[in-house]
Amino acid sequence: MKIDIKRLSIFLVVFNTITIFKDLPLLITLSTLAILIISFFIHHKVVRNILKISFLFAGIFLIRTLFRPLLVTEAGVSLVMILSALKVWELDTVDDHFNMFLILALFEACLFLLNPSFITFFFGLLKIIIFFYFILKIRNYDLSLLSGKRLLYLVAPSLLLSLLLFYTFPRFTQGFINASNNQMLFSGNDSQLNFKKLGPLTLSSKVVFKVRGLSQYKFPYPLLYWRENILWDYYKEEWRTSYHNFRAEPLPISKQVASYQVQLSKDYNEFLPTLDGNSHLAKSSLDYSYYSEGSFRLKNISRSVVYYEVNTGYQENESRFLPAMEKKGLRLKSERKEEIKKLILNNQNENQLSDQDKFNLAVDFFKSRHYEYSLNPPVYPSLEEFILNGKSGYCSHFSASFAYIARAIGLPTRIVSGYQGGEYNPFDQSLIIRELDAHAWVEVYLKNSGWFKFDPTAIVAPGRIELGANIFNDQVEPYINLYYYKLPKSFIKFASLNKFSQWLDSLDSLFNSQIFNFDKDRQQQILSSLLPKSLSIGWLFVISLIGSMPLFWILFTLLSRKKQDPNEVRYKKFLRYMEKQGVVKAPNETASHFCQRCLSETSGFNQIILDETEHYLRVFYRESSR
Amino acid sequence: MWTKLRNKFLTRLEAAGRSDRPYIVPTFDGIKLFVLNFILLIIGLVYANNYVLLFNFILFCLFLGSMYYTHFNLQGLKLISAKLAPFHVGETGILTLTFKSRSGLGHHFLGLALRNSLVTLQDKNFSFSFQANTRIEENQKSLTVNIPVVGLQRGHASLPKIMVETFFPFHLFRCFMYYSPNLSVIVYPEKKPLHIHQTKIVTEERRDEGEDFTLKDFQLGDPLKRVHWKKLAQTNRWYSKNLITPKSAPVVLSFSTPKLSPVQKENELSSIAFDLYSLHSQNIHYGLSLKDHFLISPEHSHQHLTDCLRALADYEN
Repeated sequence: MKIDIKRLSIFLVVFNTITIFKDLPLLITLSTLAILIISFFIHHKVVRNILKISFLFAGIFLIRTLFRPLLVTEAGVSLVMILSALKVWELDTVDDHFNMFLILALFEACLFLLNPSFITFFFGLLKIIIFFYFILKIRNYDLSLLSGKRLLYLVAPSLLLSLLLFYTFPRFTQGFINASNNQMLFSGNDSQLNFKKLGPLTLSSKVVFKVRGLSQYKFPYPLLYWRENILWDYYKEEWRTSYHNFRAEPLPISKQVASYQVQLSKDYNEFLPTLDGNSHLAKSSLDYSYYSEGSFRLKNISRSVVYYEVNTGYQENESRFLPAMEKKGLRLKSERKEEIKKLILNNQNENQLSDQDKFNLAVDFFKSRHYEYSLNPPVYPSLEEFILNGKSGYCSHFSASFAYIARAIGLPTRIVSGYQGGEYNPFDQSLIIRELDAHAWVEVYLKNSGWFKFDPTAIVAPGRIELGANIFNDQVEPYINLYYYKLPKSFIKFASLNKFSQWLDSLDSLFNSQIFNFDKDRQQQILSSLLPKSLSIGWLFVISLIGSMPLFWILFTLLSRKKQDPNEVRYKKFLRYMEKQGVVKAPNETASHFCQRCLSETSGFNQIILDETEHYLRVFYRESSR
Repeated sequence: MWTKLRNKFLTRLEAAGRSDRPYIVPTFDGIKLFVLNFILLIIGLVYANNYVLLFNFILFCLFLGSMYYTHFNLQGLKLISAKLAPFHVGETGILTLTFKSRSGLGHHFLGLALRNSLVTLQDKNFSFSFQANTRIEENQKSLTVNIPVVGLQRGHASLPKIMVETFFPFHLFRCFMYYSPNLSVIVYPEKKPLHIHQTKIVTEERRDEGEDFTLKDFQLGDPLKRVHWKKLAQTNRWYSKNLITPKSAPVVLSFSTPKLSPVQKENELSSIAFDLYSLHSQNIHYGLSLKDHFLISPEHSHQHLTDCLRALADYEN
């Protein structure tokens, strides 16, 4: 198949659209693909133009409707996506090709916004280079003139200069999305758990965060719990966060401290996961708040990668129990609360029971339901329905139902949302936590022992906790359903070359954390250690920009210098040699005459004189005259 | 609008600019890329996204690098000579330019612009470099380029400036240089067989002493009526008459009417130009009478043909 600029454009637009389809509404993705498909069938110019304008306005209307709460980034990316699909309609002139190049470059920048990783960047750059190559080809430029040394002279200093500018360019901001306005929109499952929406689980293997520095502690990685945020409020089948009253300073750590570094790279970073226990953030790239429930929340939601260092007392927990916590932990507005409570208590008097007794009753009741672990449970109409008649579910079902059960019999309970398990990458000694490791458990307040961690999923499916989500899910669902066919997951794992993906991941991580993804503070820290303190980063950038301008000039001046003919150089050397012997060639003297004079005026150099003159005459007169 | 602005700028620069000095300006593509750079910078800053910033800086530095590349692609190029043989409107002439270069990089994809009303490039996208369509002379120190040009209108003028430009390598910058070749451009009228002009036959008085035959020895078979009886009587030798075809009368070509509209005038000049060639090939002596006081007397030679055509090119121009 011959690759032309239109096919390449379509390929790139489709490829990019598919890459980010999870971040945007499905309707936008489908509209983009539909616009591309329609472009194949409409050829009449007037009809095309009318349709193009109509699609553009329809696209803007769609974006306006879908992003009513003003998700600026997604709206912008959607618009660029639709524009790129519409531009594919018209790729007739070289100007159109260049405009397509500009739109695609903007599209790539959108990909970097939604997925700021080195691999995305590398492939994005590659795509743009390939597209530009085709533009040059269409412009009929002899591409061989750009190859090899010439290209090196252009690209090498460009890259050098761009890196210099990149590292010295002062960063003024840490992003602009305010957490308080968009918390529900962005954080989705993190800060709310809607029971009615709990259907089949489709968590991807996308990396959520990476942890370094834990290898020295020899922890059993699959058993580690990573605390993220707490769900307190239960209202109309929905569990939500509530942290406004709990802002506080972390408690001091008394024993068994684990220190580690986290690199958080979710699409929207709002909460900072930490190892379950009593945690302190030693350092963070962004401002955060700590809540006495044991969660860390960024003051501004960040789309860029967040780095922080944590010290966790992993044998302690956040033990504070505030009056507001009791109030929130017991709140349960439910029509069938009494019915369920009766079933749990089983004719026992609630007032005569201790917290431990109540907890045991709750656990017994939970066990008596005989739930099964499944990644494809049915959608239950209500939490009560699941508690009473439910058969199968996963961690969200179990933790929500146990929290309900415990609250129903008067135990303050909260749901902890976070992660459990993870994969150890031996290439960079990091622990990788993926989306599929997402987990939920509960904390019950018992008067004598404080907040007590309890994982109801461990009762239903101990394997999920012991083996980790990845292995356990494979055991529960060993096949991937492709329409009527079942594909073994082991085959997919073999095909995806797990070792290679681990290596790629460590490479991505290395570039991300060490080379490209730094923040304002880190930049200042590094540059101030390298340079005199009186020099600010702004000035450094200006000096780099102005100072590096002559770099190209010097390079091209050197490159454009004509090389002297080696034969001429050789003859000049001979003339200098003869000058030392006292024979100087007159400006108007021919080589033959000079030779004769040298022979007569010197002795002992006859062979050299004859050889050099013969060589000179042969090269410049005899051979050139042929 | 962009093209208009660009042309206005170039015209002003041509009037004010010095020859043999390269000027460089961004193309529209270059400006668009610069705007994209600016947008990416804002996005990268607002979102604190390092990859967008790095992408932006890479694009910016390639933009900057390509500026130097474009500039050095033209720098060091000097025009030594320019030649253009006269030719007719609608026909293709060859403009021969000889350049000299001081650059070791070479010069690639150079375009030309002839800013005049008489001739234009046959292929507007014509480009040349040291490797293509060229003859390298003098130990690769000079370069001769033959450029096909088309005559737009009749006339005779000097070409004050030739512009050589380049967009290589990325079409983001346009680097151009003016040369003053002092080239005289002569474009003859188009040759059209319209036959609308006036052709006057110059009547010459017949010389009585002139003979319309030559004599040769009589041979058997020669008709008796060709026998020169008088000579036979005088010399007692037999001679045959060898008749000579009478020579055509010289003609003078002129306009059909004294007052002509500009279109008619051009048509008549085209018609005359066609007939000039026709008469020249028939060995007929021809002359021109374009105005009462302007007359080229009938003659027949290549120089005469050139003079006549040049007179047509110069006529009321």
